[in-house]
Amino acid sequence: MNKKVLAWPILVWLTLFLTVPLCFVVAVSFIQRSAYGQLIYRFTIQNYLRLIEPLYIQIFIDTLLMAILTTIITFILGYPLAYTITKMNKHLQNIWLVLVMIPFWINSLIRSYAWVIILRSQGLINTLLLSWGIIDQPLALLYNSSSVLLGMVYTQLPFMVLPIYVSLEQLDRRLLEASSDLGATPWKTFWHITLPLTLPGIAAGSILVFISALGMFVVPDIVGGAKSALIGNLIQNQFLSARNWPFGSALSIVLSVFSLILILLYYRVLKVQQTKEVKP
Amino acid sequence: MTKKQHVMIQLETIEKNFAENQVIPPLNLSIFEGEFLTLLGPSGCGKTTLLRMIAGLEEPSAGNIYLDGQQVTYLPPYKRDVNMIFQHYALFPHMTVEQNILFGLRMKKVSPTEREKRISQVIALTQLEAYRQRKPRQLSGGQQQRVAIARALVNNPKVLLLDEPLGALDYQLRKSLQIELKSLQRELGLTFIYVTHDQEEALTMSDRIVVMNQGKIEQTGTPHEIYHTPMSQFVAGFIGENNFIKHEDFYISLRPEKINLCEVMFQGESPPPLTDDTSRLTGTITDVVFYGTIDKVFIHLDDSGQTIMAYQYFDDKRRWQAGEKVGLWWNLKDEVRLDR
Amino acid sequence: MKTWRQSLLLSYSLIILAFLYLPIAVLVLYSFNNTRINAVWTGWTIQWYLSLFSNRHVLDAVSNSLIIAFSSTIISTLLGTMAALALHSCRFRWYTAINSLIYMPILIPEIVMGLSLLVLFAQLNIELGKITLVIAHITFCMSFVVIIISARLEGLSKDLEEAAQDLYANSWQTFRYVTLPLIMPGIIAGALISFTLSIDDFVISFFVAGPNSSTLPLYVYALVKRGISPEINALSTIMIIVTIVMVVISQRLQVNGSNKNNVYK
Repeated sequence: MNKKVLAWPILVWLTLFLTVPLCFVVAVSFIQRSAYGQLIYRFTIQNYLRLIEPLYIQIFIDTLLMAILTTIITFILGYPLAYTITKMNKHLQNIWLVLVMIPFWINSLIRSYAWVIILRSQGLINTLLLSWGIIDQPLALLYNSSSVLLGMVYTQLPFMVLPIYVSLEQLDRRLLEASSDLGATPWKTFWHITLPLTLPGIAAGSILVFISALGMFVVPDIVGGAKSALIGNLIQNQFLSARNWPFGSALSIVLSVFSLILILLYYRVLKVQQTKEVKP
Repeated sequence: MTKKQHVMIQLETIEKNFAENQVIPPLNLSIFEGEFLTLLGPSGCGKTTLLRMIAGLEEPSAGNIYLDGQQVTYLPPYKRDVNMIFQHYALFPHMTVEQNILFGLRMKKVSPTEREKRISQVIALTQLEAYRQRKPRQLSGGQQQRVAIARALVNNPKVLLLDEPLGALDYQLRKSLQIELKSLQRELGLTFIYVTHDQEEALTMSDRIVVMNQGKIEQTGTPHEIYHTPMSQFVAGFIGENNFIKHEDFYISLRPEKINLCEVMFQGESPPPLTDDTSRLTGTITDVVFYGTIDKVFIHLDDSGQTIMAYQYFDDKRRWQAGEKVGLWWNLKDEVRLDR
Repeated sequence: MKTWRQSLLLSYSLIILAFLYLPIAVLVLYSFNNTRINAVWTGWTIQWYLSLFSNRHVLDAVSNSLIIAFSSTIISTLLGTMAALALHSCRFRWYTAINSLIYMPILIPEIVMGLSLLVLFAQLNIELGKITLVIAHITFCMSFVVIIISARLEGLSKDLEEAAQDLYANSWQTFRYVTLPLIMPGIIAGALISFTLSIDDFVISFFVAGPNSSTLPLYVYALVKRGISPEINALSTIMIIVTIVMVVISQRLQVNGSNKNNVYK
């Protein structure tokens, strides 16, 4: 019996429920809709032209900025954490890894909601500050871009830590010993050896965080309120409230293409780097 | 060796191509019942591929394989009466020693009473009584190796195939297992086909050695023949240490232990005349390296400029030093002439 | 010797860990708080949990979530295992394309996957409900199963399968007695991860759920949109605990399995 047959069901499934739907979305992005949201099967590129309206450009910029900031902050928080974990003994490493992984698996909806409890005007922080007499009016901690950024960093941090941990773990310890043997201080060893050699992990983590942040809509929806709309919210809105599927489709095509290009770029860079290492 | 030898495995113009590459060009080989035959060669010479084709794990691109007179070329491995010891033993990690050994019998649906009889035999033979219920990872390398042997032998195969079975072990253990394996084979009278790249291992254990290079058989013969009368430069160079003295259209290969060193006559005195059965040259010693039981003496020859290496034993009259002039002589019968 | 540098790094990491867990801890703690209105601690209670169990909507959502999670886990584990085996033992001409297709559900933004399925179901006039949810969940769970089991198969030496064949096991017996037992921890881990992903999924479910097929996360979302309530805290706590248990078990299986079964390491 040829075992290749075993791969068919999944391939058929993914074609039916992944590839075909995506093609549908592409198709819908090129058609018109009636005033009541009915699809009219007539070709147009209007949906894409609308993307360059200042309102949407502003949302793109906001989203990009948010994603970039999230990536940078998760890196600053995540790298030292991953580094510290690799310095522990094997048993502690496993415990810490599971501890980092658990939030990653917990629903981001619940994790965002947890911040609402803390940040809202009758929330934990305001209640504490008021009762200590530090403030006499509740602070507006929730429903602004800072709270969205906080929520993003909070939900995306594990994405950054795990790939960096993997690349640090694979790092040949002898290189570090060689470096300090050759007279480098720990800081110099880190700067000249560890950091450059863990770049692939940093890149992987950054791509994961960045792409996930680009398409995020739960976090801004829960902790951002109505004011801070990102692409994700815009898309959700087009599909579920505005009932403008063609425009929503055009938006999601742009989002997907952008994400896929980043991923391809990442693989390309990774490949180039690997071939370089093989043939010095 | 007058008794008529029964051919156990016959390879008939067997060849193997991987994609465009010819790994093994057409090749013939007969393996006799009860012999310890070693396939010897550098890594990538095709010896493992040959073994895997006999096991049925690889299909030849052309040619035929006969096992005990029966055509088995395209028979799957589970229908052949041969068993293999894998390089890293391939013990099933989720089964105990006993379950590992019983695996083949269970697959062949051998009756429980027969199974019990056979397993107690091989367990006694391989001295694994104490480890029956252990898992492979709780065993040392040597013990794992014995389990692998027991797991194969319990099936009473016609031929046992061994793919560098001692490669993963350290030097001391390897030495003692070489002797154990050899005596086991002699005791059982079983046909062993042994793959290795270690020439010393091949020379100590085998009845017959097949030296392979780039998929081709370079020479087949007893360890003695292979060592003393190599038929190609490859064989002469791959097995043991050797000197090659270049002549116009041929080489002379000369083992370093066959070379005798002597004083050179200086200052007008001519060397003693050559007898018919010896040959001699002169040279300068460039280096003397200590090797435990011997010194290796490297000599730069005066006439051809080649470097030659000779062994010097400690019971020799004189210790040589680098920089000294030296004479070399040997018996002509120790020369092996090889065509270029 | 512990240097000040190491202590500094350790403290930094502990703070980050606290940052990761503090909100969750607050949420769990408040689920036991004896007040409905504000953040002041007024004493312990389990009344929010009790009220959950008598709430018909919650019970419906739980049963929907469980039905969907079980069905999609079974199917995605089965299909994923089959695919991983095929990819492991055969050479495919379109290997890169096939591999990319399998990774796709992880790579494309969740929201896009959700809405594309919505578009598909709408265009084909398929009514949204449990069936569409199961289909969507299977689609994004399968890839994780394939990845986890492939990793397991990768660690499996080909020698073992060959040894089984050499010892008279045919293809089926080789699979049944050697390959399957060795990848079992991977299959179980994959199934647990599928179950967790399915029971936790919000974004994709949000698009393909029908009016009567609300799952737990969807129900929580609806409550959150209406405002803070201690019941949400209680419900979230239960979901968090389920997730933690599942992840820890599957993690154990993956780590232990790979240590135990690798003799050569």
